Amino acid sequence: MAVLIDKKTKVLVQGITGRTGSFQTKIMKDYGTQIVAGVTPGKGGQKIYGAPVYDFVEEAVAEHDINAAISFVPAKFALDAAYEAIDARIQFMVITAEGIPNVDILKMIQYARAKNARILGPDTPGLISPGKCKMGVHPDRFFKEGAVGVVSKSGALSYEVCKSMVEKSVGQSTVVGIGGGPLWGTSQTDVLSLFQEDKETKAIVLLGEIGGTMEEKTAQYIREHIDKPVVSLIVGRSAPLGKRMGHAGAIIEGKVGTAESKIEALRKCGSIIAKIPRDIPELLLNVL
Amino acid sequence: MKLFEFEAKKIFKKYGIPVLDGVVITKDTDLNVALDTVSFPVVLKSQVLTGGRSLAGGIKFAWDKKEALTKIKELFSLKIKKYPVETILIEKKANIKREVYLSITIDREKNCPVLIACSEGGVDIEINAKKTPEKIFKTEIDIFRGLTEYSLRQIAKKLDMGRDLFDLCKQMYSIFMRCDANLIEINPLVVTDAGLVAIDAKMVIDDKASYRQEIFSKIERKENEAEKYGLSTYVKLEGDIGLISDGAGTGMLTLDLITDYGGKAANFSELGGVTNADTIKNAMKVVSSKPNVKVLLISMIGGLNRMNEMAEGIIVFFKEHDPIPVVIRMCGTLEEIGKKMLKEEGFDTTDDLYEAIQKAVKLSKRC
Repeated sequence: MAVLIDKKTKVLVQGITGRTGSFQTKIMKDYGTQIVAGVTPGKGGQKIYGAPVYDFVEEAVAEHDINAAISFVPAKFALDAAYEAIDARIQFMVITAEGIPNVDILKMIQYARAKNARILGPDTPGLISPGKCKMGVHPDRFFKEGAVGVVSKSGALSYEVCKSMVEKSVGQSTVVGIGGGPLWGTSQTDVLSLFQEDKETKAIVLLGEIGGTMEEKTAQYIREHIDKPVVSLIVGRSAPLGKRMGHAGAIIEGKVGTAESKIEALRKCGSIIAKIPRDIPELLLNVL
Repeated sequence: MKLFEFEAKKIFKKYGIPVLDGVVITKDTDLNVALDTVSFPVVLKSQVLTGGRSLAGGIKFAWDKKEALTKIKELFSLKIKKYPVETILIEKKANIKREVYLSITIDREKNCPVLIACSEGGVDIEINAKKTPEKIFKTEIDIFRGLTEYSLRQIAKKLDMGRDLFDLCKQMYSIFMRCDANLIEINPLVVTDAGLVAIDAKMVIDDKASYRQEIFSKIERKENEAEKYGLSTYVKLEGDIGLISDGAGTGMLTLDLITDYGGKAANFSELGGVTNADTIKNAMKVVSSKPNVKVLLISMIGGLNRMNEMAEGIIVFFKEHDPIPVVIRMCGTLEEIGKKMLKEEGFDTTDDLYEAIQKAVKLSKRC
């Protein structure tokens, strides 16, 4: 078991012929992900690392059994690509593009919701269930099969933390990047509820950052719904006020979104707090 | 991008939201000509991109031309929260019968636009939300249906107003969608003998929509260095360690660790996903050009970013620029190639983030 993806996941790559799409397709395939087809409008008929390319998602699903899609389509066209995948009845989508206008994000999230589909992202590295499936851009040597579920806004921070874990032989069940925000198709609490249900996941790592109030809400959710141990790390303790720290959502506005407020809320709700990634494996070994 | 009140009001006017007739002046405007076009009494409103303008004395009234000239001079010498007043909007003073509050923004939890109405206007909505939450009425808007007739009736009833409010809300929502606004706020919206008037106007346009919103090419704002060099993020700080990271989360982590180890970063910069050799070269150029930077700390754990390209950018930078101490933490996608390339050019790299940061902090204290 793993959450959202496993060995049986059959993946469609949208934007497969692009620079990033083709490069990451090869890495995902080498990792063992079943990449069954790809789509790029106007590029149908060719093959990318063995995966047949179609002009339309509908053509790909007619020919192949597909149950998930990862999109490397640029921000400008990301909404249309999401509509196309949802209309072709694909139920799970990873949307990697950074810089999609907020109105477009709202539309894709609401459309997916109406059609019972799930969007992970946008602006996400995707997700990886080590040893089973990778739908994302993770450097895979920092991941290994195990019992810890990781949820993170930042991709790179999840690589950093999983690297520390693997160095101490602590592996992961699934590592989910929800994206840099400020809008999320799948939230921290959505992922936590999946980890709570997942038999393979014995402990959870929550990687958050300054900005907004998601971690405060998540803390409340942990208190009410999660009985597995949760280790949390919040970055941006030393960030200046009012400056956007890379992610669209990572900004302290007035008194909202500080690291202290998030850390305090999580501590109060029973989460174990890690100050730096290197502390995380030890804290996990104490509770596993 | 935040708009000035006068810029937002231009958009309001275009979409049919009633605003007062006004004239915009700068220090170079011929005041004799400008003041002849207005009818007194007038209100003089400093145009600054921050709140709390009224409390800071940025809004003044004038009953004749002479008084206006004196007060304009006063306003132009004013600074409001470090923003100097460079533009003033002069409008006819309104006869206010009642003030309310209206705004449309994004509800980040529900993932939809939300219209916020308050039966009391002119005050900070945050303060009102705490003091008298019962006066605030939120309407979630379905992005595919837009504002429904029944929700408009609910809003009007809550504010004890008539059908003229319907049109105004619809116009606000159409601006919100068509202009990629992240916020439209009218505070206050006033009832006058001549009907509803937007006395103030606040708008924030989604920067991510710059490719499809004309306004970004029409309005000039001082561009920051990050944009100039195509960096995702560049934030100036006070210290002496020039920081470049390839992800926002690890960038913030590195900044935290620099502080923990007793160092001070000169900046925060982040390359964002899918970059190339030029991006990191430009980042190094921007970061090292700050005079007090003693050491560069490059912190990379690549997913989308490929380390061979990062290495190429670093090597080219040092061929084109004067030497500066550098600490490179490199791992992730195509790391073997990147590390080998750097080693051949005489650069050490490390896998260990903590070691890299400690080394950079040490170097920043030595020189």
